[in-house]
Amino acid sequence: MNERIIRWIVPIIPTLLLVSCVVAAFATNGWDAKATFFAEDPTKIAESLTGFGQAAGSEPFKLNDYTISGNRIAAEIEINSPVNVSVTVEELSVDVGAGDITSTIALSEPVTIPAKGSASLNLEGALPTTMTSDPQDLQALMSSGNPEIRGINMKLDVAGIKLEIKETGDTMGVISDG
Amino acid sequence: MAETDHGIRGDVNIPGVIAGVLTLILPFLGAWWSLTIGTDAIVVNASPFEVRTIILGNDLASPLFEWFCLGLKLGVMYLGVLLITGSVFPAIGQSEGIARIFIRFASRKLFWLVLIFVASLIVFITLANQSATLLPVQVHLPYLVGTETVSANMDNLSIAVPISMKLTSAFGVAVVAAIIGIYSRIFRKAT
Repeated sequence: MNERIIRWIVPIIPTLLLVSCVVAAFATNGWDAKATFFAEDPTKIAESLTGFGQAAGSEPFKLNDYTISGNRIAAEIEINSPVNVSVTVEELSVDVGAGDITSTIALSEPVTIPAKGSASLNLEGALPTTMTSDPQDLQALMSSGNPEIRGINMKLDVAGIKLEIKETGDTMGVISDG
Repeated sequence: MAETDHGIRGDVNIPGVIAGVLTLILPFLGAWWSLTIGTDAIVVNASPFEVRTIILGNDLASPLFEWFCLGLKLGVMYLGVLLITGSVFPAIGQSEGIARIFIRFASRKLFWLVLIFVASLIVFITLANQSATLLPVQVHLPYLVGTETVSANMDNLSIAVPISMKLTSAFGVAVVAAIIGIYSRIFRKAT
């Protein structure tokens, strides 16, 4: 083959390859620019990344049960993770109060929530001795209906990112049995 | 006979063949550089032939970019074929002129690709560090290689984010192939 032709063809081939691939990208996606640029709808991706509080079709936190027996208070919280990576709850303690009384319940050991899955967190704590020694206080708590959450301390490991959340306040929320 | 053999061996551009083979296999060696935030919260594996970004388990992909990378992959393989062909052409009695065209075209392209890739990463990291000054936390990403933990405290929230970057062995192969490619051009002129 003529050297001049080869000299002309050699640099054109890679350009043709690149241009063909770009054209093929549009052709295989029905010449739809949005589908060619993004494999998935960007708004859906953004939702899945930011929707920490919205697991598909379920509440992110749900109090399944709480019991008071003797001087012990226990609660079972179900957490639904919307993210596609596992999340470890390393520490969780919640200050629960009713009236003038506040008690802290905490997670006894770390719990791992699987990607897009759910896990139950069993929190336990002791009631204040002043309260357990006075059956009337205990009765007041039992009959007070919904105890309030007065503080939360949580340490999370989200795929290696360590998060610590400390919330305190007079009343952060009311526990309603799920 | 011995003289002919010696002549044929002398005409094969050995560095060109080595550079060609390395260039040909390069697109199949995987990522050149990887960025990991957390253990796998954000993972970016990048090479000129593929950029894979996984954020919280969500694979972010662009068909256009994937096809463009395929074009680059084919282009680099084409360079490898040209290097090998140009290196052995004189030894099999083919035109010396065509061999020269092939080697001249293919020998330095990989070097530029490596250079552009590294420059792009440095620009990306510099921009990320610059834009991080807008954040309320001090963020300083390492350049190309290294680990850093970014910590921040905001009101009731504290966060610690380990960031690690590394260049892979595939990048090493690319650098070696690029250097040998340039040497093959010098070797061609010298012989």
